[in-house]
Amino acid sequence: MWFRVNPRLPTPIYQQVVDGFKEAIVKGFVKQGDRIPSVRELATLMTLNHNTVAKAYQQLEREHVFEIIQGRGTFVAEFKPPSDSDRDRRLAKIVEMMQQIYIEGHYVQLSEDDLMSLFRETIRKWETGGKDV
Amino acid sequence: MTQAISMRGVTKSFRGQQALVGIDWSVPTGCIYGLIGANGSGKTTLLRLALGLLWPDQGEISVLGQTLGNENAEVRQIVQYVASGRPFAVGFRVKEWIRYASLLYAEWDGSLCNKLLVALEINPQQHISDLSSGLQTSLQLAVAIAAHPRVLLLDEPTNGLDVVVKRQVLQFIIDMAAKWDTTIVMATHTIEDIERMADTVGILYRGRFIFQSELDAIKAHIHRLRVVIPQPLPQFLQHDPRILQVHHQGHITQVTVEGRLEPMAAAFRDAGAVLVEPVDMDLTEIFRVFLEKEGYSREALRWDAL
Amino acid sequence: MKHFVGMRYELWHLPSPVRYRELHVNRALYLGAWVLWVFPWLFQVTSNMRPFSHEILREIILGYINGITSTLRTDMAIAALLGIAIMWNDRGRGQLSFALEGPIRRRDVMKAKIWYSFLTVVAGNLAIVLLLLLASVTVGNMALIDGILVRCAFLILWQWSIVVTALAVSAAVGSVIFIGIALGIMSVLPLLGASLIQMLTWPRISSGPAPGPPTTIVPPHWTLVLSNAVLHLSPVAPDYPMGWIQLVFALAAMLWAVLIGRWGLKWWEHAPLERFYDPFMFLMLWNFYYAFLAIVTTVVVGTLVTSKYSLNIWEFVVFSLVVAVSSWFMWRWLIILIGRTRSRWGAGTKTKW
Repeated sequence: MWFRVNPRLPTPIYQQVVDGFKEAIVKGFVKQGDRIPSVRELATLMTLNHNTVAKAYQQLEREHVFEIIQGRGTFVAEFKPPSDSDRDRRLAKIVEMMQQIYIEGHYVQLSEDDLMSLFRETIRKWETGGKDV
Repeated sequence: MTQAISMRGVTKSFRGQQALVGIDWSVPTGCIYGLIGANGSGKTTLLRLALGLLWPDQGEISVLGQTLGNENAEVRQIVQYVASGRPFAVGFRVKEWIRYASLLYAEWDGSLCNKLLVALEINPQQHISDLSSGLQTSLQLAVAIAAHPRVLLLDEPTNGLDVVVKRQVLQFIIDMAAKWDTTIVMATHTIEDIERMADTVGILYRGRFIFQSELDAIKAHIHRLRVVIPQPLPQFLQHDPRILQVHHQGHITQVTVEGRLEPMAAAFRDAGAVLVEPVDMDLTEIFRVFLEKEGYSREALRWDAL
Repeated sequence: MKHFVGMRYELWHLPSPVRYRELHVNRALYLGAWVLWVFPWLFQVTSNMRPFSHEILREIILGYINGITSTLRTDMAIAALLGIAIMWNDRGRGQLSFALEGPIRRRDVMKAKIWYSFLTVVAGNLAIVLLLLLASVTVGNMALIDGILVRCAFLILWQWSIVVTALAVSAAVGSVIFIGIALGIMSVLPLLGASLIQMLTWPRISSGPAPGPPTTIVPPHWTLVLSNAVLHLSPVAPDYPMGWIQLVFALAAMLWAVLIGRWGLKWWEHAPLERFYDPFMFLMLWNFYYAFLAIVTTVVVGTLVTSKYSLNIWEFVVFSLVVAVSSWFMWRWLIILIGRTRSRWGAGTKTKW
């Protein structure tokens, strides 16, 4: 499978599925136009609740990560620039996550520059095929 | 949403000993319900009431909108019950039992049953009494699935199965639930089985429900933080209703909190905490917290004794 | 066929899974009972087919018609055992309680047993009658046919009522009162009937054209009648009525079978499931089985002994009590022993069935 789900994490399982697919796409494990297993297939394969998987797929479809073609199945959507409202919402979420990072950084005494260089380093590692950071 | 199973005010006792007390229970259609409780907590009684096999002393039970009476043979066409570890149909060969089931069930799917038997490696020529108890449970499950039920009640279904077969069996169950939107109730005392599969859970403790909720909701609701904070805790934190449980381990304090995580973490930082980090919490731990919240004594909180 | 919902409930209709299951679990017992009924007659008739033993053949037929052959008493005992065994076997080997968790009606399960036991009784008696008809053709006395047919009709209904009583007692799932009343009536009624018949028919029977000096015929004292009836203690050994009285007896037996059958079914349908698992009631029930078997044993042994030796009433009572009590323990020991060796079959070792 492209990702693992750990039911013991505080993150809800459906969110782990959403994140897992997004990560797999960014890493290139799954490419645009690839067929994704159906809800039933994925649920059975990973012994996950099918309602949970369906919820994740719905969210991925809403975010235009997945595309459902009637009668053919679920596919990784072509990348489309998100709509303004969607973009704003997701931007706000990124800002919130950045604030978190900054606060946590503050407690381990990372300066602004330290944080920026750490961030760049992380991205480079990721792009050169490194594992989870 | 219609309810697959709904019980109101159900009480049942055996020879004067109360097995279930004032049970209000509803299982939404299409969900996978994890019913948790130790042996003797009333799980089996609850399931057998839902099948219409036992009759409640008080209260009302309806299954898929049908109120149960005395003779509930029709209901058992669409509600299946599989329990591990009990003798069943010892006088039959596998194929004879299959033949019986094919006559018995209105929606019998013979080819599916054959496929399941092949997958589970059950030889139709064998006597059922010669099968291992794990295989007997698997056979019951195969028959139950092939009967195309709308509600499937499982009583410790994975007891006695090795890891490979256990995974296979759970996959059959999930596949069925996804394909036919079958409602599934899994009674177990091993939480690991249902951590991934269930979307709704309930805990039975000494014949009462002490907790029923959707799994995602619990996870969003209960968190545990590991903090390093000067002692004693500030006044406002000691009396905060959001704090359910505090454990000290040397310098580190583990706090279990109710509600959103972020405001709570911020409150600790403001109170001078050096380290605030969320800790993973599995269902077992979450339920232990709920038991304590319900006011059960510490002796009773050992999970094995639940 | 498979949709039972809303189907009109008919006396003769048995859903196919119920038929399949009953035959699968109990067919050996039905066949076995049939063989046990027919074989002794087959043996007696065929071994006397030779021309010089026609007189024995005629005696066998007359014995059947007049109800004085001891094989008839064993036939009654077989009927009683069949009724108990088809329930026992289903509880043990057939895992009846497991089957009841499926979508079959309790009533259908019992109905199947009643029907199949009836068919077995009919098949057994018809086979016996065919043998006797063959014998009477061989003997060349066609006048016996009427008597054979009337006796056959009587035996079918009488034996079936015994099977139904045994079934109803088993179906009562541990209701001590029910079992007591059923077995009580079953043993007392034919006893009273037999006494009454003897009282009415005694003078005529004994005043036949007797050779020798004329004797004064007096009606027997009631104690004598009673002791005579006790010697032929019911339920499995009624004193056989003769002639037209048989039809009255047959009708009474049929009425009894219907009443006790319906009553048993009611219990069977309304007993809560946990009754089936109740160890106390379960063990109590077995005591009644032992008692039932003890009575059967006492009757058989008593009949054998009184045919050889003449006992007075008190000797007979003491003898019967000793046999009854010791056979109660003997059956109990035997059944528990069977239960140990085949743990799914017998009593006492397993509380679930």
